[in-house]
Amino acid sequence: MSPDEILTLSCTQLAAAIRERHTTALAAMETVLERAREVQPKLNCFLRIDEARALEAARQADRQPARGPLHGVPMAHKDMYYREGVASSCGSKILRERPAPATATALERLDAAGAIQFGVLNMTEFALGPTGHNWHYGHCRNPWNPERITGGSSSGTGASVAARANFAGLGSDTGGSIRLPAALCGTSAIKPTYARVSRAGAMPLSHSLDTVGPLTRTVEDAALVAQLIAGPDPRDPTCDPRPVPDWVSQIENPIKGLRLGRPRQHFYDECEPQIAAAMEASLEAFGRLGARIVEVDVPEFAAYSAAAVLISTAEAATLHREWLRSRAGDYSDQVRGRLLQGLAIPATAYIDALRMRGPALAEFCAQVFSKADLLHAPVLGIPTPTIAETELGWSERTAAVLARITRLTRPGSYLGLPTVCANAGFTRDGMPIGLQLVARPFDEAAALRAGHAFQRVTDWHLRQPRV
Amino acid sequence: MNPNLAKTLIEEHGVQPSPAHVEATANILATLFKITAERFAELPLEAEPAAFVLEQRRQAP
Repeated sequence: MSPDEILTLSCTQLAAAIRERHTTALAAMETVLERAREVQPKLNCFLRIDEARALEAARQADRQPARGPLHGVPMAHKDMYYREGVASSCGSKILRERPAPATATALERLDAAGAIQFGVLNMTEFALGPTGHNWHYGHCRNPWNPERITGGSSSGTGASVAARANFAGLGSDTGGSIRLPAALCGTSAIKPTYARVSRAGAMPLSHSLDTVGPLTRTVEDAALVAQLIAGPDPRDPTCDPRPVPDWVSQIENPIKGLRLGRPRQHFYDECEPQIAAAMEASLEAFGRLGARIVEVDVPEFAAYSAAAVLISTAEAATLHREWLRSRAGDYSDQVRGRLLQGLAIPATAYIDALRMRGPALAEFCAQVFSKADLLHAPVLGIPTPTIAETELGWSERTAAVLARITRLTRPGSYLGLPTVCANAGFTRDGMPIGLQLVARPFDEAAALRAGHAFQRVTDWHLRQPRV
Repeated sequence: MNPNLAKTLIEEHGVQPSPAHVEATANILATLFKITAERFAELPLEAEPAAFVLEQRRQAP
């Protein structure tokens, strides 16, 4: 199998190719390392590549019996998943030399499945920001157009997977940080239900909202990686105790009769015609697959988004308060400004934002999931912003710019709903258009099944940027 | 929110904000409070944060 052939494979396909001896873990690792070296000067998606260690691990994998469903598959992750004794910068200046206290559960589970980590990826400083910018290590660049943002905060994961310099990687999502880079870079992804995946050993930003999930080349891969990392974990007391269904084996089930809800409000209010047209085309594809398209009303989202900002900002400020006192100059201006505002949020507003969450979820489910199995919508309704127009210090205007980027993702974080993302086409200027399939709590299976069915009849996810 | 109040609240934590960050904080929080005021006021006495987890489980397939 040639390097070019290896690079076109999904995780699922590569694992099968290694298992069936069509290629080796070493060949896969050498190939992805070469590709990573090639794209890094243009995209700045890696913060560190552990070449020697990764090659040795790949050689060992080729000598051993298969450890699990990702045996020998190279992966790199957002630099906020701890490996004991190794520094995870979390995109910051503050943590770049601190050895991590323990290995993240998600990494332990991927290790056990046979995946080989070969590097860590760029991200927004402390995962606080939806553009993907990083003023300490340099901004990550979108592989479809380096002048445009990748989306964040999982910027390096989106860019590296899209550029075929990584087979899959972990992101994290507090207000859109998995869904946005997936949409803007044209990858697949899943943000699981809040509390479905352990956050032990992952950098915390907002305990009430943080969610761990993968960005991948296909929805099938998203199912596989999510399946491996999800499930109860005694190290994370918030992790849901229920067993995880077998998403991978269910993914081929037909979607005939599945009801996809097209929202009447909010999602298309400020939507670019090209993006709306791509959404309509994707609905037609779903219709041909036997899904039923139904119109649904969604609740007023403004209060959900505002409540989510109150929660995330207050929790993040609490975690960062000591460094805001002692190392204020080590934050970028935008991140410091966002954190500072959390110090001025009254406890009553924070608690009310949490109290409203249960009723809000009940309200949303009653309106949407009584009529539909999934909500179908764009991830971003505006053209992918340029780096130049989002290169801003912290101000009210910056908050408004960032709020436009997270407008269609932050409510889903507040509601903790599982969401699968897939590429649904391209704008005339060549930027990916992402769709999201939002399911009821713990019904990842429906969203994965629908996303996979969509990718079986479309080829948007197979398009590769020229980097 | 009054900028002087925002400044005082931040400084109470021992943190020194810049004038630009104080102004941004005051304006942004004022907007957030305004957007959420009506919904927060409607919350019943019994609404509590843990109800979200129960609602998640209730809505699960």
